[in-house]
Amino acid sequence: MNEQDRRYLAAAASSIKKLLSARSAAPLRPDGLSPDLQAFAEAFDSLIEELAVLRRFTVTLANGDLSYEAPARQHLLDPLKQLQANLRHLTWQTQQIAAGSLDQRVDYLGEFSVAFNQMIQGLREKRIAEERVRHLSLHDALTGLFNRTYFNEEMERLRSIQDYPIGFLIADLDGLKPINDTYGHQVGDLMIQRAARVLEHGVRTEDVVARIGGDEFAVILYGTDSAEAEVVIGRIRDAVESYNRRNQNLLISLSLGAGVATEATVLDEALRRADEAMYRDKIQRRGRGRDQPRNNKGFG
Amino acid sequence: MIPNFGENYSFQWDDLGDIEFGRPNLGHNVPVVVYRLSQYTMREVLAQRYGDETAATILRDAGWISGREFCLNLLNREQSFSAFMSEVQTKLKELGIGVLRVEKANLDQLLFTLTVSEDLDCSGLPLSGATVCDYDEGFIAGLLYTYTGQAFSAKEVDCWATGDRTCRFEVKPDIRVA
Repeated sequence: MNEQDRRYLAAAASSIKKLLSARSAAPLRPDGLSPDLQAFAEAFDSLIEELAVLRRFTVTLANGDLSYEAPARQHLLDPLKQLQANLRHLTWQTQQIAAGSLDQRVDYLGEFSVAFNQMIQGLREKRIAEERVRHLSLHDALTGLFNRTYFNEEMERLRSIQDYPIGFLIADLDGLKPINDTYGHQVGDLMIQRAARVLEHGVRTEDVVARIGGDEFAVILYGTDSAEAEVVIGRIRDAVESYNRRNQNLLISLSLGAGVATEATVLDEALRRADEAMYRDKIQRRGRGRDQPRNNKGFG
Repeated sequence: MIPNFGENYSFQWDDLGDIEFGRPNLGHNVPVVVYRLSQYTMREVLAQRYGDETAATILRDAGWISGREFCLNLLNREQSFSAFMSEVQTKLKELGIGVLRVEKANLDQLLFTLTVSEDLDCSGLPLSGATVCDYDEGFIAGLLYTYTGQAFSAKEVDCWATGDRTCRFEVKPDIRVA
């Protein structure tokens, strides 16, 4: 071992002490050492360089910064790169959750996976409960149709759109009170439910059918003018007749009226016209003796 | 990438056969070593006959068909990207193909960094210094093409065979095709 070798070894020992005390150490890049030691020195410099990158990467990760782009083919970094990949993926997953997606799931991160997946499950259950509450708040429990609250909200929304005409139907279930008085509210409720199904059968799926009172329904017919609204009324009457042919023990009768709004300012007016038309229909039907399902054969 | 033949290939999912009917006792699964035996002997013969580069291209094209058919037959394409990737993740895990992670996703520019750990093709291979997941590259490109309708290139930048523990793929729109 010559003097140059001895000086190198002292410098290398100093570098090791620096590394062990978490300080940086520069590669020594010696030249002219004994051949065996020269080979060792070059390998040692590679180790120092890779340890420097490892330290930088570790500190960056420890500070919560996931942006460091670790160089390829430096295998001391592999476990940290895997950790970084996991953390970046978790970041992406959390962003998806923040945007409303609850399809995320974490695996292979021990207790964290369990906790994360429990959190997601909790959020899913909360969302389902919220959706149930919202559904209940906007739907009629008896018929499953939209309720007056939803109908009013939709009316407000329609005031701000430009997509006219919009047709309205008002439907009143005739003869509910005598059915309630004679057979009880359970039968009356059944009659309301069946009237709801008949109404749904007569309109398109995109139209809104709402129960806005005890025996009163309203239908919003999007993009529908007066002539088309009359066609819908005809379809509902056909549906009522068809229903009554098949259900002689609980006949139904609906008084119907239509109104059409051609612009937002006359929405309420159109609804009022539909209501008036429904009452005219009821009076006419009463005159013809068709306003009450008198033929109900009752329930035994 | 989109292979030169595009969507005009004759392979159909049904060509995989009725495995439950055909293997009532042995079932669906085989050890990874059997899959790799098939994959790497096939690669060897392709490389012997056509050279390494063409062999890699053939495997990539096969992966593309596989990714497309996988998407068409096993995944729901009518969902958000987030939900879609979550389903891909779950399916790859269930089938023992690998653990997929989305490191980065830029949906405006359609740039993605995806990682696959415990990869069926390469995890545990001896170090060769070169990436080997050509089939996976095609698979990812075919999968995303089928979901988005957009041609993608997927380039493996880290691989077990280059000494990394996670395969990392940089995915971007393939402007040569777009």
